Amino acid sequence: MPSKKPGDVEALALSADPLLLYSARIGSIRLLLDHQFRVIKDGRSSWHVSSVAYRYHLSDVTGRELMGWHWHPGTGTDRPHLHVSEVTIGRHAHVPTGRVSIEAVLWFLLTDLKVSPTHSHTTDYADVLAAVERPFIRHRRWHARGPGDEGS
Amino acid sequence: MNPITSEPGVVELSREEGREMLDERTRRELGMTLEQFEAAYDAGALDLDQPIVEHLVMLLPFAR
Repeated sequence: MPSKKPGDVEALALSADPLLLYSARIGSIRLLLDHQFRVIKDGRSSWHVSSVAYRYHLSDVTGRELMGWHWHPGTGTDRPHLHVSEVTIGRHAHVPTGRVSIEAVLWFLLTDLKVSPTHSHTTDYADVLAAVERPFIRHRRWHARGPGDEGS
Repeated sequence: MNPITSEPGVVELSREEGREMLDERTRRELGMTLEQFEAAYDAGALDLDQPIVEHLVMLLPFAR
């Protein structure tokens, strides 16, 4: 029996928590993916998934945070933002961003940090990511927001 | 080392399974039970500036 009803806040996370990856650029890294969402009925037979908050983090193998993409309205800043553990700026700065998808973070890992895809997706990972992200981009109800804006 | 797309698929947890999963993580990361963690969260006593605490708070819907 499902323990959640439509409209309840649900969470998505990786079963390997954190997920240990190897970057050909910077060595071993750890990925944490946290995403909260609601399943909303918006018509007689149509539903949509409405994001509530996200938090995607990269850290080194000691757990020291390298960077994190956040959106958690109602707790601190309402804007989507980036934390960068760079000495001059510091981790507590909220560097503004648009809304960031999980697929965009995976794209960054694969292309910029040179994390290897699985053998079965060595040649088509870009197509796979694009195909999965396309519905999100097409149906998302907001991309950027400021204080006081509603979004889902 | 895990390749990036090695996750086997989506596994949906029941509330009981979610509580068990989160209890293991609060014990491992903070040395407290899930019940202690929830009580501290509800009392506003957690340090939400700690990344690991933020992470565990994001997982609370698994337990509720």
